[in-house]
Amino acid sequence: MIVMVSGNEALYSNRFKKWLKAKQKVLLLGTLFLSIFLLIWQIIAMYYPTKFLRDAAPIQVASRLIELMIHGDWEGITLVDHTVASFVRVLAGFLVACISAVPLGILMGLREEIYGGAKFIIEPIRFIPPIAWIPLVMLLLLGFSRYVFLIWLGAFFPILVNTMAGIRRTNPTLIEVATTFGAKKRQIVSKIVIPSALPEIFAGMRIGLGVGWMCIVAAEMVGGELTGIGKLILKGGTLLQVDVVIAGMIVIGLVGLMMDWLILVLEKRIFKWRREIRV
Amino acid sequence: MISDDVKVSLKNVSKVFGGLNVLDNISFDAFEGRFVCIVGPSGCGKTTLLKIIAGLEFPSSGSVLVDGQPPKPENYNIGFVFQEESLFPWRNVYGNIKFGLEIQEKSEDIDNIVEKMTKLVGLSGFEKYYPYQISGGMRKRVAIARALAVNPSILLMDEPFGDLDAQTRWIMHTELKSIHEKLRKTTIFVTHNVEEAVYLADEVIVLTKRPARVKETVSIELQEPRNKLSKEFARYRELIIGFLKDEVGIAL
Repeated sequence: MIVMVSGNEALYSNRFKKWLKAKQKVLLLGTLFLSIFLLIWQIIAMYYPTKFLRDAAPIQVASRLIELMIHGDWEGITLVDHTVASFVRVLAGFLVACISAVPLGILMGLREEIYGGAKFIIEPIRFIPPIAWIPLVMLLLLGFSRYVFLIWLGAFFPILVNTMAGIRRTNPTLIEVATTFGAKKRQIVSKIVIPSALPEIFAGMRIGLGVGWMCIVAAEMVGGELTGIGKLILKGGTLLQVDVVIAGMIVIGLVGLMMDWLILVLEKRIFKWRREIRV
Repeated sequence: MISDDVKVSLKNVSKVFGGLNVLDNISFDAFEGRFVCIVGPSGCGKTTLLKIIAGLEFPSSGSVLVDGQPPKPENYNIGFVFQEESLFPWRNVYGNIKFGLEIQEKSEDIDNIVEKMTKLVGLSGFEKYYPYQISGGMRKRVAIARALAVNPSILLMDEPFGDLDAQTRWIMHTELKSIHEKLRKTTIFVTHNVEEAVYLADEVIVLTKRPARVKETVSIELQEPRNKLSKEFARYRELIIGFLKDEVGIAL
């Protein structure tokens, strides 16, 4: 048993070494570019004409990040609390987007006339940015529904468009195969069209979640509560604390990236069959 | 099981697409248990003819009867093997072979049938593999097993081996032959490969160029197992190539 474990460990450390070697160049380049970026930031911060940015050089932002994580902000709300609050809101809006966009996308993909009719409503709305909805949201909605609505707006369209495209891209030969077995319309949809569109539906969901996450600041502008990573930025802005603002922005970026990456990994795992032949 | 019962009967079948005459007055009978190959120049409408027999398309005039009835896929009497890749990439070998049984909601022992079919095409042990993980020849076997699993009354094959390399194709010929000997399923097999037709068929129907008519019907009487290198084999091949040559107007 012990031998096996140590054997596995050796295997893993070996793999890690291999990975490190393969990625060496990328990692090196990444570090280099990041250093240059931080240096430029530092220089701009030092010589910026107003004082706000002078307090928000990389080092200050980093120490602010740590402070926010441990002690929290003015109200004592920690970074984790903020992130979790935002995440819950985004998840709620995203779920509503999935529930509404997937069935509608399937319907519009299957029925030309439904798409033909709906596109006159949907296509123009697609180009109204979530921020433009804010006055309306403030007047018409209250509480949690404000977050949900604004995030739904962001997540809805990528999911809808991808679902529709996936449905339409069904290989006609596969439908013919089902027809030769006497499949009914309902069976063709449930056994051929939807399974074959699933990867694209899933990809739409990934993009939708990303866009939904990017709508968090807009949503928390009108949300009213003191928590939320977007709220933190807004509070930081009013209190003229640029370091807090930038720290919050970094967290938004990193959390978004992480979600995207996690779902991508999941996607590759679920849709193994989609992978091309590998030697 | 070879008998004189007419299994598939075409009478004066014509098909017009837009203004284009594709099939012109085609008549022939395929008898129970026979292996019929249809050969003809590329683009002459062979696939259309097969789809009409399958009930996937309808003739502009004339009639098609399978078991004395117009073919309707809802009657579950047809097994079709397509020219192009037709496996469901999200289903493994087992799931693909099972598909027709699932569609027809048969109450029989599905696992048992799938197992038998998997064995028939020599893929036992590959049940859990996905199409992307197996070779082109294996994918064709799965498609054949899937078509046969529903116990169709006829098997229709549309240039199924067209995209395989010569060696794999050779193997598939032998295997298809032995499957046919086991099941004696009435088969209509479309190809433009004359050698393939002579090797597989009891009867070869030669079509003309578009609009396709029946040019000749050749009964292949060769000793089994057929030898692709034998003199008699070559004679049949030359004969059919001769018929086709007139049609394409160039040396084959």
